[in-house]
Amino acid sequence: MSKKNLNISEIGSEIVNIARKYGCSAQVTILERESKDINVRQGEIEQLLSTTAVSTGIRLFSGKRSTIIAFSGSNFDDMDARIKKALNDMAYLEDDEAKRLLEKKEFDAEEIDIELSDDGFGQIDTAPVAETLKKIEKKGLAFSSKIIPSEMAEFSASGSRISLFSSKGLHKTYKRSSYAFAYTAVAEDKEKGIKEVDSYFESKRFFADLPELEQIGEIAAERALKKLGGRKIKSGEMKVIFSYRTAPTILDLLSDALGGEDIVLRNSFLVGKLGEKIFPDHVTIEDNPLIDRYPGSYPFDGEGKNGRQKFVFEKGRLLTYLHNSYSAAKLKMALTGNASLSLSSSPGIESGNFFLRPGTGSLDDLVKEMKNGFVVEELFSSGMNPVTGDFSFGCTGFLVESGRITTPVKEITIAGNLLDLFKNIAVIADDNRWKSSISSPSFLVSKLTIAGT
Amino acid sequence: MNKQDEIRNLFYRKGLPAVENIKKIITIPLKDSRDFADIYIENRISRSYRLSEGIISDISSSFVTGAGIRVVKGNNTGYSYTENLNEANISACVADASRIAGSARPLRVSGSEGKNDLYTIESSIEDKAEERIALLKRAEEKAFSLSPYVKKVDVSLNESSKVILIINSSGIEAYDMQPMLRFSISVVLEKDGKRERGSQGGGGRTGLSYFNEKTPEQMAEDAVNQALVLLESRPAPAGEMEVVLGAGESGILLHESIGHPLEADFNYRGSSAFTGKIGEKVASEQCTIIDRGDLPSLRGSINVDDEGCDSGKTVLIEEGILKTYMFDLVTANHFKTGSRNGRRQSFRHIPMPRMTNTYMQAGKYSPDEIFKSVKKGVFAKSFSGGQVDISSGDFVFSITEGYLVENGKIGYPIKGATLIGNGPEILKRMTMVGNDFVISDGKWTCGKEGQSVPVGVGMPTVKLSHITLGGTG
Repeated sequence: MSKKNLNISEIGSEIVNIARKYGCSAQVTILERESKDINVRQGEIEQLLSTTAVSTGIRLFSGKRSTIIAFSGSNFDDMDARIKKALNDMAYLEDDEAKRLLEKKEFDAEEIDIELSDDGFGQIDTAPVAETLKKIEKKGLAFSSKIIPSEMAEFSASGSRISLFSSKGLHKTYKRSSYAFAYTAVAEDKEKGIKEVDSYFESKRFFADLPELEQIGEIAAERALKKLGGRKIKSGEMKVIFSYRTAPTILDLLSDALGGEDIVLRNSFLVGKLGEKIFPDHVTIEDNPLIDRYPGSYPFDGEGKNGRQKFVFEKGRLLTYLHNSYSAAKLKMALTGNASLSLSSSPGIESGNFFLRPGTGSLDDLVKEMKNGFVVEELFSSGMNPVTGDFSFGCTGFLVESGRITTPVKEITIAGNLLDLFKNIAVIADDNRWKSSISSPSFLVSKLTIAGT
Repeated sequence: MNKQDEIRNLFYRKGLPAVENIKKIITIPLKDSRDFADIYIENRISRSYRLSEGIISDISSSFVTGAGIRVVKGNNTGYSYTENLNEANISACVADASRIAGSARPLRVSGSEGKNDLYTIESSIEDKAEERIALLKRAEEKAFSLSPYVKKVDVSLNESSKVILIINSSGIEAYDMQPMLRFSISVVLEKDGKRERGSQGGGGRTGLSYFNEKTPEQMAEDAVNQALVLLESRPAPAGEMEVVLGAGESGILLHESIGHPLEADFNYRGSSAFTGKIGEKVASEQCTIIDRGDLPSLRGSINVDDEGCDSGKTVLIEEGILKTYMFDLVTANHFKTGSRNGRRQSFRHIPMPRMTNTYMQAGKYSPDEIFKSVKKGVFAKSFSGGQVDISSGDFVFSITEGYLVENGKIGYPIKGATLIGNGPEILKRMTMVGNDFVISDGKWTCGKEGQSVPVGVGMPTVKLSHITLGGTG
């Protein structure tokens, strides 16, 4: 709609100029986003959403103080009044030595060009997408008579442009696109009166990179079907495999604990552990925001600092936390290019493509190697104490007996301390999937406490 | 000026065409008189203050305005939104949303009678900065004064003021002004090389008057005490055992294990563990479970839901019998009933059936009797959240503060642990329901399909005959 007429760089520099007029410096972040969601159920489009949005965040700096205003929409007429009003807040703030805008030399002269958008959003046609979704659903339902028509086949696509401006001369822009197809299957055993649900999705930055899509229905159906008849197992210590579905959740918790702001607040089990051995030698974990077409890629972070590849753990040793300018200044450490893109609050911290480097072999190989134990397929991960690393998660999965998957397991928990879990990573497979920005191959943990009956 | 005019004028100043015109605009693309369309117009101002590292470090404001247009044909929904309230943009969205196909089926719509008046708008959230900052400082000062082990204190106050106007093709107009306040404090304590965290929060659909009831000092004390308890905690046991759920926060269990599976969308699609069970006995007779959006000032309360229907009381389970689900307009139409639980995060989101304040009614046992009945088990006092698998009914919820119970006596504190169970089964294991009902208000946010909405929960002390506790001991 009105988006096409927006001259973002003019708006960005105008806001910076208004701030200057009032004796302030500013960083302006503008996010323009189009999205389309199509949900098919029982062969019909049940929900169709299409949207265009513009969101703007302004960080105003006066000395060692900063305040933020954010707003929606493409009406920039009343910027002067908004900024003037926001400046009233400066009087209530207190000087914060760590608050600042990045200097020109820090946001790097060299422009990084990575492929993140296929500029294909405008070409999405509802009809063929809906046909694909219908086929996905059909394949799912045809997989077994136990798969019941229930949840939806879903498509979502977005195209966005991110622009950053600042009083220090920052002016950077990049675009990214994303396309995803998903299906949620419900399996029912009518005789036993039980139901299980599971899902599968494919997601890519470039539409052309999506694999064969109809199989999504079958994979989701197979997953739901395999869960039917799940039971509890006895409490006790066991060998455990985190599959490529659940291993990334563990890495996600690790990535949170590496955030510099939580280190400042001593709200992380990794406080004071820099340089220490956290994992065995065979574990290397990398953060790399600069990979073409990957889910967690960005050329520059939420403060304009170029993203960069780095080893976070090398041969098991913790080499760096992840920082934005605030946490780096508080801890007197170097910037890492991990400020998150934030509009209505100060930038937080986020990793780029954060991943555990693959070892060798498949999930099947791990199962054979483990002989007896448990494979975690799904995690309910709300039970985490970030300060101590203690965790207690609900999970579902499969029992492994004599090197073979035997029965589905449900309604049990795994618990322990993440630092112990990390030390006990015995074998790593080579099956990283890149479904989201955090990726891990399946790995085997030599012991963990399970609570069941 | 009355509330309706005040709200209309607010949106007119932002370029909205006259309400009478909107009623026409949204019906233009409806080819069949049985098709339905509505528009949800929203203006939201949010303000937040934060005290961190000993200073007032952040103040931020956000301003969001927009309108979401929905066209419903039978069971199918088209949706689009705009951030500009002028006629051209709204018309374009109506055209976009009406691209949905569907077999027309009349949508029976009831509208708000404006019967609820559950909260008052106090002074503007953009004013009185000093007063607000003083609250943060009081909490910080109190926290540090309570224990020499307190190392870090982080306090924040988040408020929003949301104005909504809903108009639909049946000619119904509904509106509301919804305040929201949330205060949070988290502390980190260090003692003898051990570190622990404690937190507390509170608020509701209220303004600064909230702090006359619950002071920042009280919340600071709760947070510090929680961390002090955790510093002394020992590993929780693992396996099935008796569990006493404390009054208040344990309502999370209802929210996850029963609330979500009773949302009508899952039942209309047939994916819920409770599908087809209306009229059946699903719980012990001691259990009466209610969702109620029309309680004054609570976080989960709403005068009207986000489809313009008056909120109200829904008895979900009465003395163990499943009575009904929770509905939005589309699912209510399918089940041929009324709707009062259609909620959405914002104008950018399609409404769906959601909970408001969900709780279990008080029973007959005194908490003392309940504790005395426990041979060996755990008392679960406070929680960080939970999750549910709709189809199997399996759910988890995570204890942050809990204690061992032996021979009726509360013993040492245990480390955080997850409780895992199955919704339909757990309802039958509620063997004793206490007479000490408590609402746990002011801090819960519910997530579903990417949309967050504020909710409340409540619960008396309840004994579960057995449930799996995910400890390590």
